[in-house]
Amino acid sequence: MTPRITSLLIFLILADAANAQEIVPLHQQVDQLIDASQGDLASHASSRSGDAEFLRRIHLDLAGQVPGHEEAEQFLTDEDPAKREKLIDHLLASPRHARHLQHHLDVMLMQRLPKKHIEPVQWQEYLYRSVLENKPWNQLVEEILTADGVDKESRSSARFMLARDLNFDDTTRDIGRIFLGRDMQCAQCHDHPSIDDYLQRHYYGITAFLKRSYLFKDSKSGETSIGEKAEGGVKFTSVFTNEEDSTSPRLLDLPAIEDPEVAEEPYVSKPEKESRGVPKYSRRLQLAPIIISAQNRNFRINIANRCWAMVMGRGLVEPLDMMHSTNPPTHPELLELLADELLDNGYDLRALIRQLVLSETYQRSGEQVEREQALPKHLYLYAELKPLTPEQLAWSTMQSVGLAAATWREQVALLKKDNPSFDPDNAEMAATLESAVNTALQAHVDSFVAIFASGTNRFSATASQALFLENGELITDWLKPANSNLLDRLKDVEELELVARQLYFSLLSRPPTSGESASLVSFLEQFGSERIAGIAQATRAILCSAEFRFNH
Amino acid sequence: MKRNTGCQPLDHLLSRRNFLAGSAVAGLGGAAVLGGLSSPLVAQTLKRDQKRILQIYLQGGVSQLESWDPKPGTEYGGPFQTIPTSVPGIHICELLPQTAQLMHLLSIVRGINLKTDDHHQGRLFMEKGRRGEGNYPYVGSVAARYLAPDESPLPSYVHISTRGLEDDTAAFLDARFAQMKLEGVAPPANMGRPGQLAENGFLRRSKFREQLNQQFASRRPKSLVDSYDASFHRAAQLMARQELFEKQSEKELDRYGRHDFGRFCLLARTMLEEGSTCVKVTHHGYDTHAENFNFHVEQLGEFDTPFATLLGDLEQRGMLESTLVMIYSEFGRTPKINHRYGRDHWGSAWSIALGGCGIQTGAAIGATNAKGTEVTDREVHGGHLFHTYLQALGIDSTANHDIPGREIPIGDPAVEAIKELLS
Repeated sequence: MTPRITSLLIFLILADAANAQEIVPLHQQVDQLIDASQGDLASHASSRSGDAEFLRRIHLDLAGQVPGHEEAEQFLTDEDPAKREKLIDHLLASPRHARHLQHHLDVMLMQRLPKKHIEPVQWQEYLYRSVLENKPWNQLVEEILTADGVDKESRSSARFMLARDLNFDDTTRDIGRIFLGRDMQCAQCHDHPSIDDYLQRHYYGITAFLKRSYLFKDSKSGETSIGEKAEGGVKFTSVFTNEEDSTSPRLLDLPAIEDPEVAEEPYVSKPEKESRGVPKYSRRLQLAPIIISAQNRNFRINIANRCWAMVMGRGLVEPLDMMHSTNPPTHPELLELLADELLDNGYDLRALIRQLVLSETYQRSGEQVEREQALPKHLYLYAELKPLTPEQLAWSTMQSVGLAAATWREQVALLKKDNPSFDPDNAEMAATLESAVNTALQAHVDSFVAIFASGTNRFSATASQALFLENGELITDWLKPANSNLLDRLKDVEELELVARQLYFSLLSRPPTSGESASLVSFLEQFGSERIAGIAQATRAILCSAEFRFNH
Repeated sequence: MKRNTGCQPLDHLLSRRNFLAGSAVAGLGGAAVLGGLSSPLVAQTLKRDQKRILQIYLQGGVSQLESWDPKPGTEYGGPFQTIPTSVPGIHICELLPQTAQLMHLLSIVRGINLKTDDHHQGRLFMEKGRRGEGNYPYVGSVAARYLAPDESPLPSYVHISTRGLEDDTAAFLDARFAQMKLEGVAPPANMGRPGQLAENGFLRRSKFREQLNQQFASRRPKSLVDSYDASFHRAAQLMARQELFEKQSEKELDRYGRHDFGRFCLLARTMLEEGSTCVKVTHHGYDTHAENFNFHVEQLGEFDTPFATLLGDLEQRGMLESTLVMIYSEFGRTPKINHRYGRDHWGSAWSIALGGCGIQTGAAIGATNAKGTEVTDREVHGGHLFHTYLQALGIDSTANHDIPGREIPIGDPAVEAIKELLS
């Protein structure tokens, strides 16, 4: 395709998109913009993913774990042409989706900070319930940024501030990174040396919202909450130029928010040793409204980029928290489109994610047509290889070896004992059941997190991780036949081809090719009469394989 | 034949850099190479080229007055005398007689002011070269990132300790540069093959896994799969070296001492010889709010011999030129002696000692006043020290980290290295 024709095509597509916005669904607009950006390289694009590839990917991205054996067989034999869309809607409505998004949001918001003042489990439950009811993102952020930890109902949402001990620097930096996509750490001590848009006054403008607030410990309950004074400003000095400046609360380049006239009595409750300060005018409470306001474009651009990155494996802006004019998005119109969609749909993340995974861009195969040529990643010619998060890896392992299903059965039985009319198909009961299963398995997930969590989202594998997978007792125990788990089901299956097929379905959500089946059978034959040992070793080898470790 | 597991192809045992450079190592026969780094030639290459760090962390805050900056006969000086050292003009506390004999291999930094008296904040500042909780890597992870060969035979950064906190040492650097914690001289977790699994069963499984990965990688971007594979190779190499953790030579233990710290120092020597880039040993128990003097007799009595033995061994084996040695804490102790004969937390005027790679030794840099209550000359903090450690190792700490899309200065750009300490 010549450049002229390409640009004409882009023009037509854009014109078309503008005219037909009402009727062209978002996922198609996404595809149009991505396809248009591929230019001459479009011929190298991988084809649409096969059903098995799609099935595993969509389960990992929406439910945070691989599908069960039966689900996989059923999906692959289903001939309904709309089965992908149906599966997407089924998964998005499931409590497992809420759990998965809870994990994702928790890591994004809390970066695995240790317990401080608030039990992480309570905060996680709060996030889980929020996702379950599909609470709009702007509302969630408002709750998190305004909570002071006093009210029992909303106390867990104060973990964002309290776990950071309301340290002004940590909180300022994280508000910039997480809600605005701007890591302004370098602007703490001076204007950023190489990024023109990161100014010291931006940093301190955010600090100014927080600076009057402090941690208050109630001597009776022993609980720590957030109090605030009615005075106090923010001054800062550049370590480079020694210039001193001050700022009122101010979000980036939006107008500063000046304090109203000082009332004669500025306090609702004076800050004293035994009482938490509550001013009539709170600077801290001005933060959430301005962050989530429509004037603050960064808020919607940031979350749109993060949703995109979550399912596509890379952000339209990378790194996710380095948005600035010299690091523009790879697809500016696309990012605008997604951000505007969120503004229009009332920050409905579930609806946005649904559109993203419906796109052909998302559903492309991860297998590369041409391996010789290094294809640029940002053109989405093939699906990105995404390492499983520690939670996805833990849950997928437990699902594959049959532990998740066994726990599910146990918990259903327990709940039925308490309530004979318990029905796992009822939405609210299903949510409760998911929580019970989650609680029962949490310690195992924590073991994976302890080994696999990392401060970077670039993939890096350590020897400790390999040792955990190869030799760790946790997985060794899971590979002993018990409670109708995988090994229990396979121990009496005579035909080795059938064992191979079941293993592939349980672990990799697909049938083996004939070559794969043959080599697995010959692996099992080496163990002779010790067939259970052989099956356990084969299972473990697959659990340690790259195909299992990545989402593809 | 435990070591030669056969699942490590030649090119995985050698660092890619060495391989491409066509060094002497690459020319060795397969058998010698599969013998691992215990082969003398390889060990020599390692000794010559690879820079390393030995960190001795005196947890809780060693008293500068009972170690590197004694003030005998003054108001807060305490009961101990000073002794001369192998460097004319430098005197240290009498509790370190053997270390004193090796003072020519070390330098003292006496003017440290961290402006914090908090254990956690002091530790972070000393390790990250930045104040506060900011997301920066520890000096050990930075060293591992920029100095460790592509395929380090052992974990590039290990910490030998009996207890202590789990730290996020790698921050934004890759996880393989994070610290691996060793519980004393016990092997790392999960080193033993599970249950009844015989070695040949394990090998069969590894081979099968590799076969699966080959198929998968043939249709996918290779680099991630390779890096995943590499972690299993490193694990296999570590398992093959299990004996490092199993027995320590009785003869060497006679020299180092049979208590924990003696054993840890001996293991540290082994890990450095075998190719780890940063080895940290924690000696616990310096937080002497009560009975400071009795405790320091005990603690430093335990410290002195193993440390001096280790330092002497590194020198004698020709490793000191390539190994930066740090003896440090999170802070020092108050000059003022409290009513329990203790000294409290004190970040504002204290000392550490450095030696080895890139360090101008035999010097005492900076000074405190006569009573030791404040720094009077060449005041420095964790930021200056961080630059100094890295520049001593030949890392340009004023450059940015090699992270795509980000510009993160390695050391705090507001401060510089202690130039007069660098050789």
